[in-house]
Amino acid sequence: MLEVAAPYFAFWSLGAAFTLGLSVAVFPAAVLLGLASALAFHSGRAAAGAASIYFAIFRGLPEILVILAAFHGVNILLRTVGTGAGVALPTIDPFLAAWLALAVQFGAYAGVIMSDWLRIQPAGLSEAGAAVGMTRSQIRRRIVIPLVLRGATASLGNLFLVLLKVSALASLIGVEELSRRTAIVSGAIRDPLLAYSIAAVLYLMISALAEIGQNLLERRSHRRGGAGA
Amino acid sequence: MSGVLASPAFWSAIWQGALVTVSLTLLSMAAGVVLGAALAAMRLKGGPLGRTLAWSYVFVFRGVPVLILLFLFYYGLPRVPALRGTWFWDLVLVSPYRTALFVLTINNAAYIAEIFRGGFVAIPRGMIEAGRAVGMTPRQVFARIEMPLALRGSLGSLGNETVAVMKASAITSVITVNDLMGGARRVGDIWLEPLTPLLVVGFVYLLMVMGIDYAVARLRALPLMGGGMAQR
Repeated sequence: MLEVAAPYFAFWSLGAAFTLGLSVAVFPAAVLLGLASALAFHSGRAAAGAASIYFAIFRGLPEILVILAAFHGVNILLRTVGTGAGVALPTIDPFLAAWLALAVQFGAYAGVIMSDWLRIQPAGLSEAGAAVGMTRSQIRRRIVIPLVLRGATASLGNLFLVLLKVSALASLIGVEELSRRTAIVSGAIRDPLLAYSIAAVLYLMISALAEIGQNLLERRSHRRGGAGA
Repeated sequence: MSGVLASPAFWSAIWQGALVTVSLTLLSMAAGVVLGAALAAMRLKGGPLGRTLAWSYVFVFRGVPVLILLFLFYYGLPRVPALRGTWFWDLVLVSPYRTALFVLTINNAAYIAEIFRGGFVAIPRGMIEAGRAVGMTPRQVFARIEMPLALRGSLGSLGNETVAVMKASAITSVITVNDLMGGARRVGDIWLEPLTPLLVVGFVYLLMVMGIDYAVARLRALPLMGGGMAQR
């Protein structure tokens, strides 16, 4: 049974690598967006309102909708701008559209996680920084942000596992990751049951790999000292 | 831009689709809570075999994307001749809607099992011992102390899970379910307007999330759900 699928394994594993690559490319952007919005959320200014609207919108929108809207929206924008300027602009690369959509959506999820950690951070830590003469930005860079990142490591690791699975939706706009390549193989061998079963196993393997990485990371961040976590 | 918005077919697709999305979400939550409770019970008190089975279930159905599960059940399983004419075929595989409901449920039960397990694990030992000390049987302790506390502690997470299921239900549009997402997109495709339906539909999803949050807040206010402890 497996020999039908065997010639496609190289093609397929590249798709799996692409799935991992897409998530790895999205994640730092999402964490940065999350950190920025979490800090804004606790700033107590107009930025706080903007951050909470950002969180509320992307908590409620399905990922599939955001990916499709980013793809079509950017293309329509490019076409309008192109027509206005009298030049033919290229359409957006599906990978870029998926990257953009996932980064913005998961940035909101990361922001909610990190603003929870900011809320429970003891004020004494920042006060200690001020007492030894640190400026506000020094306190933020040397105390607040490192402690939030360390505290949120476990939750952010779980978020990465979610991202791995949600990134399958990028296949719907033509990104050639694991799901898209599975659809191609499924058509070629005319056996969707086999193709999607193998894809399921590949996803489980990627998740297991990511989970092992997460455990190593968590153990390291615990060893660096327990305070604040 | 306004073409599709002026079309009655579009608004009727939104209305019909919203009903499909709500029914997928509610039915899959109801079935998921039952299945999830059974899985959590197996994981906690099922002995070595039950524990391993429940753990594997959670590992598999949390680890595989909903999109892959949908394709597997919609395109893959109907190719198995042995399934033809069985109850599984008649009950689940006969229509895209039922396949979607089944897939959402088995996926969401894995998450709910973990929520319930967390709810039970978080109960302080002293509560259970207090019940035993006043002479309750283990069954009474379970029914009067463990179960209510675990449910109360899980309420917030169940609300979030309902939002997650509603969002996942949008994916079922890829197997031709005419839910909020699918129905509106199909009308938009006729008008060659891919973006406008998405914006309208997005707004409706946000309204539904507000509805879910409101329902959870109302449930929290019930006397049964009140009380200081185990609130998250």
